[in-house]
Amino acid sequence: MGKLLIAAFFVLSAQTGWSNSADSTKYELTVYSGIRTILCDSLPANTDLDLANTIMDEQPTAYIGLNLNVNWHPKFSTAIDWLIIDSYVFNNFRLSAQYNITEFFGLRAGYYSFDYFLQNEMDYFIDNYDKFFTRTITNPYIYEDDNFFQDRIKDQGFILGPVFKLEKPRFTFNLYLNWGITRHDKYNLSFVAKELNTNKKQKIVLETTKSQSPIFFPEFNLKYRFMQKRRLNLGLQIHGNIYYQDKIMNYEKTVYEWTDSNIDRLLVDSPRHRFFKYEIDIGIIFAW
Amino acid sequence: MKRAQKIILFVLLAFTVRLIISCCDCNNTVEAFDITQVEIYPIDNTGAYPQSANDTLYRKAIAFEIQVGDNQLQEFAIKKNSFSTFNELKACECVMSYKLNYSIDSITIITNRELSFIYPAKSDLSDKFYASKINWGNPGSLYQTLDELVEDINTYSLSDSRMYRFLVVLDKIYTNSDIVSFTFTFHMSNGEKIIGLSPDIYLTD
Repeated sequence: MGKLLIAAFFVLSAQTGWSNSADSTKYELTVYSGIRTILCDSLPANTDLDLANTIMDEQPTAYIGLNLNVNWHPKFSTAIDWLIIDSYVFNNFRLSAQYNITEFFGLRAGYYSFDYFLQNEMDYFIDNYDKFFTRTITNPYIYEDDNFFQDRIKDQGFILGPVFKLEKPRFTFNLYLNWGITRHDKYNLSFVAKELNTNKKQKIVLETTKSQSPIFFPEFNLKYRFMQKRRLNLGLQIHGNIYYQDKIMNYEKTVYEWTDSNIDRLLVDSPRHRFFKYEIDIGIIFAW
Repeated sequence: MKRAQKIILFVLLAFTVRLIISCCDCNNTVEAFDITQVEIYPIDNTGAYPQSANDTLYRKAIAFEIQVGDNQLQEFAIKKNSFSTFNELKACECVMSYKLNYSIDSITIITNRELSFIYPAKSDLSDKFYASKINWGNPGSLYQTLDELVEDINTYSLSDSRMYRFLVVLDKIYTNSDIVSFTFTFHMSNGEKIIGLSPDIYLTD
């Protein structure tokens, strides 16, 4: 029993990453660049407008990012990631904390946020106006109530999952099997329909409700240290992930006729869509 | 001092003077005015945007532009300059604000001709009309009721103008006759009634 406890103590005391080595590092700063792809199912028209049908399939899009990993303790580390994608602001980020239970196994929890575009929602609306909305207007001229610009949605969620680790003097491989729950921020679309040849106007406002979806978010990274000068270590990292969720975009539909005070409201449940996001990137690690 | 330096110094000095005297000392008071005049114009509202029309309107889209203000409709304010010198160099322009001396209690719209058996001449159709601000070249959002429009006019002040312009539209067909005309009455809080008559409008299907 005593030997078992001693063995358990040594296993649990095993250090992680480069901090294992004699020249342990507390901070790791990784500058990386990669590509992201987003794919979302487009489902056939149902009885009402399906906002998830307007999510833009994103062709591989380049991004750059920064990761700061701090090993507070041989067993505990935290990390923060910022990504710039399709704009000049860090509009995607991730926070995580990892606890290493053994040399080969740990747990990680985190929070993330990222955004993506809708496309052709105006066309989708116009094409389906007759089918999805109260048919009190025939021959409508439809326009967006506010100035039109391409809309984007932000998803954010929490993840938790096991970490499987493999460490060699120069290599570290981590596999994260993250599970979690996500929801998108509130988002609304507003259209006005003017009936041609009459004075009649109708306004339709679609405001998404907060709909949670489960996610599966497996991720890996492979680190290779190729240089060590005094306290500074340099390395390379390859990182990739697949993000999957059953996307649902329920919304409240409000129809106004003639004036803002003449209102008809309806809650719309939308079907679930398969939503994938793939990322792969390569970066340089500075550790000290 | 070298010649080039003198030129640069002169240019800098000129910019500085220009910058200082460009500052405006605007008087922010809001001047009051009285409604003395109402003008009514037919509007073609069949398309996406309201457009000027002649005396013929589509039966399902009866609409008017109403201009209401004082005797000098479209008058622009006199720019007030606070500096007594260098007036000609100043770039600033003070915007004058105007509001109604007496608020509007209500707007009524009466048909001058018989529309049908239900709506004989002198019928009050005020609750059949909606209103909106006119944005030429812009389809605009939804309409307001006339009461909401009155509240808006009484609340907001005008900039560089003593004229309110808005669109009123009839909600549906009330007549099979070929000619309509309406009387628009502004009931002021001082008891006055300012009246505007629409021209005779010929209706087509």
